[in-house]
Amino acid sequence: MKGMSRAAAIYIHVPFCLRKCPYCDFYSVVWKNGWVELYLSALLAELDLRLDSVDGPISSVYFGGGTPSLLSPEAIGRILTRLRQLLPFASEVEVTLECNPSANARADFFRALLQAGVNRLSIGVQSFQDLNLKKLGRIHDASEALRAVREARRAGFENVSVDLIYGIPNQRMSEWLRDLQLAVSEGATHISAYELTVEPGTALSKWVEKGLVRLPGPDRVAEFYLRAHELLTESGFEHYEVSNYSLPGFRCRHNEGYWRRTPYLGLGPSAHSFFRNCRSWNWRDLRKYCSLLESGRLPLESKEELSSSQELTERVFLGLRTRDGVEIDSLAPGPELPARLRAVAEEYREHLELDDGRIRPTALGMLVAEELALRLIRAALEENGARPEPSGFSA
Amino acid sequence: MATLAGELGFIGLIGETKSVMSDGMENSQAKRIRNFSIIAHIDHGKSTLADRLLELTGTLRREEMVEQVLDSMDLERERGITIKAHAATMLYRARDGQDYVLNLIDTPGHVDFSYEVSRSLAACEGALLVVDASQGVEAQTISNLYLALENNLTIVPIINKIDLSVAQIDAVKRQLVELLGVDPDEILLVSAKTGQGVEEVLEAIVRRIPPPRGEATQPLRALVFDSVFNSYRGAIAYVRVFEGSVGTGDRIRFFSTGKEYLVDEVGILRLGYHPRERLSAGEVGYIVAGIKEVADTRVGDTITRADFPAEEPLPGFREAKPMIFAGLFPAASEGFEELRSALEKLRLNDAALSFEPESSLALGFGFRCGFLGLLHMEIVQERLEREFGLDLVTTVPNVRYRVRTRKGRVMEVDNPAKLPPPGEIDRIEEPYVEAVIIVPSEYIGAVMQLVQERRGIYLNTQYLDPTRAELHYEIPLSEIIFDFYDKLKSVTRGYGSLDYEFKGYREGALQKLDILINGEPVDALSVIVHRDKAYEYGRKVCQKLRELIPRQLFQVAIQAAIGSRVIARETIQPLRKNVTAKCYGGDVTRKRKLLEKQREGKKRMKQFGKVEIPQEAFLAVLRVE
Repeated sequence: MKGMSRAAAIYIHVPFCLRKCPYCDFYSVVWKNGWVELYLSALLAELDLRLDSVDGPISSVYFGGGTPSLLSPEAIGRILTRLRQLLPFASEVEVTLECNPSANARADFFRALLQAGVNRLSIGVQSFQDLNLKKLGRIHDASEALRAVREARRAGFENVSVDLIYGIPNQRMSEWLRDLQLAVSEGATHISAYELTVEPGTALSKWVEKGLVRLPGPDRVAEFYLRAHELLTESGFEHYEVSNYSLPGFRCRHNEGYWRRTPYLGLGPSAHSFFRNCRSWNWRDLRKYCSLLESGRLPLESKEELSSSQELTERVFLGLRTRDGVEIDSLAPGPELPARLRAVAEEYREHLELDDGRIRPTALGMLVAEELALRLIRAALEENGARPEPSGFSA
Repeated sequence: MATLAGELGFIGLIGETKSVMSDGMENSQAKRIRNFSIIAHIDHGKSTLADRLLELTGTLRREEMVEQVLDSMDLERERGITIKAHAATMLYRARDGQDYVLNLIDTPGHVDFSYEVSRSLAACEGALLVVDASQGVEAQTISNLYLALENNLTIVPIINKIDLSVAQIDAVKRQLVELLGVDPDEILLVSAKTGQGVEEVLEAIVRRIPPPRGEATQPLRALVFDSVFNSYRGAIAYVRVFEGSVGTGDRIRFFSTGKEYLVDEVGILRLGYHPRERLSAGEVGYIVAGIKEVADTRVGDTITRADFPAEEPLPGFREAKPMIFAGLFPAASEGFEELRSALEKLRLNDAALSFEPESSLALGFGFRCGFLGLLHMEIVQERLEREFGLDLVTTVPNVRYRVRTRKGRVMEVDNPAKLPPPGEIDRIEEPYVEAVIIVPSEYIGAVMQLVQERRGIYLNTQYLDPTRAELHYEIPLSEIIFDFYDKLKSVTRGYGSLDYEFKGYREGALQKLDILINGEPVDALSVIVHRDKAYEYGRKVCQKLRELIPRQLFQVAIQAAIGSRVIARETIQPLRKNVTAKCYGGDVTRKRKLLEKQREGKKRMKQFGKVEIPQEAFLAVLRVE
């Protein structure tokens, strides 16, 4: 068990964007040439400082952001080389880079990425409709989006993921289905279908507050979700997480690590880490990040040690997001499935399946994963201490 | 818990008392005693006048005066009412040069406590009838007057607040002349606030109110008109001795319980306990005799000597019967023991409060409590919340129904959930009261409409004067106990006043209305309702619940039903989406914290089968009309 508590995945946060999207709450700053080199040296310095949190073999590396594709393939190569020098890598490592369908998303750029060591691309398409792209404040248009996917395939990327968004104001079901269909037919091996979410502090949230946009209601959104599930599963995709679909063998190993709570080391400003039952995160501030590391200090903002009930909570709500579900033994030790957990699972036959020691959500179940999680957590935690009736009471 | 007069201790003891009143008063001095009470409608100045009398007789020095000193509880002072009767013995040197003993017996000033009022009055020979010069005669002026007349008291009419610019002295004088048949000159004009005319009141008490009669040599008969609980001495009985005498070492017996006690101490009440060797016929005072509970010193009971008992008790004794009932539940289930202990403490000084454990699927473990009336209930609630810091859920109050089953059995039901199944019921009877409403004539129409809506039966109208009418109705108590008074005030712009008296049980077209959630009845929400009102009530409740119950993962059907007949329904559609789109490494902590918070919120949900119902939903419904 001890060995397993050390990191087995690496996340790198690249905090640069050309422009901030109104709905995004990830940390990033507008890309300026001078900052990239500072960032890179700080990043490598952080890696040096935190080497001992990591054990091998590293099975996935993920470049997220921001817009990681703003880094040159050469810079990415540098980072990966350094990682390989310092850490043991598994024989097959998934290396993902998020990228935007911008002007430089061409075959030769993608080839250079392949050479640098990236073997999976996640393209932030969001939509193949110009109007929707405008509503989302994206800086590319539909044709650029399409071209990016094609060029990626042409350059030789086998593993290509496409991000799509639904629940956009006034989006028609036909448009949504078309987006999905295009992604499939253009050869995406993985599709992330996200509901448009209003995050506090974003421009979108202000528009909603002011009544400038009206989002579709939850029942309508549920319909989009279910139609996506239908279309994609019929096209051979596995709906393995609430918002993620993949062809067989093309699940995102790195993200699965999050939902399975495997350890990982997060580098870069705002990056989170999880190992030794402890979650920690870096400052959401590039300048601070760089200056701390320059003076040889860790850029750690805060951390939390998880209690056993917090651990249980995480296991349940993360597990219920995935088709693989939660392992019952991890909730309540013992050979027999505790009656209460079974009772909850059986109360929701449409939403949950009991299967080989696991409670697994159906597609409908994943859609209400948090409600189910609350009920299961309640049942699991009250297992170990049911509340007694007041004494001396005889009704 | 030391809150009432019994625990006040010794305030303002005046040294001269002892020399004027010798221990073991002779019977001949009975003719220097005057026993009287002050009766009035609420806020007409009863307490202020009492303060003035105390002040003027030197019973309390001005510096020690806390305004309205006899209302010792904060609550009493705030609401401007007297909850517990207090008594004070005053000494007064009249204009004739003689010293008189004036025993003021204060009375509870609310309709809920009319039995207590009548027993306090029974302890007196006279009553000061106080009427606010700016308000005139109101409902309780009359009801208290009737009580006083029933007890053959001599009435001294007083018009108070003559200092007010809006005082209408002549008009009110005419009302009183009409009401009492007295000479206008007999009506005293007073301002308790400024003190004007108060000296005349004292003279009038001496001259007009007769001295007590009764021989000290006869067997003891003492009327209990109040009692307080003292943690050191037990229940202390406040008494008026009619015949005989009682003193330390005597063995006394209570007529209603037959219990006997040895007297530890007797004495008089002068804003504190002043022991004496004996209390004799005509006197007012207290008895300490190691009595465990105030429930053993019932108001209206007669105390006699065990060794030399009287043959008959004094007339008028009645067991205090609770009139309305409500469930009291702790807001959090852990609060049950605290609530129990608080109720027990309250009962120490409130023999009229009754309670027994009750369990409800909806609200958990609590108590079904019986009260004399709505005000009594509100006071108990407030005291529990304020003095004990409890967080309570109270159900809608209901009356006690009398049910006759087909098998001929008669049962009293104060909890609608306990009603037998409709097939077994022959008939249901509900308590009726006679209500007296006094309003300015222009609001008669509005009042009549209101009372009709509440199933009131019109009896008659009398006119106090050309502008004010006194309406008499018979109306079911259940229609009055909840917000009737507020509505009355509202339709009469505050001018209407209400008093009522229990009349008896009548049969009604009453039915039990159940609220079902997904087919299962929720016991806490069952009510007994008149057939004509069932549909509207059912519909309102269903709508309210639909608004307040959050969507579940399945459809929720809310129904109102009488027996097996569904009369209203609402449906809540199932929740179809409740998940965050993205949850990657950096989102986990934030999401987990949110869930932990939601989990806390769920703790306040009551699980009802599969349905989770927030407590707020119960509260909203249980308080709905």
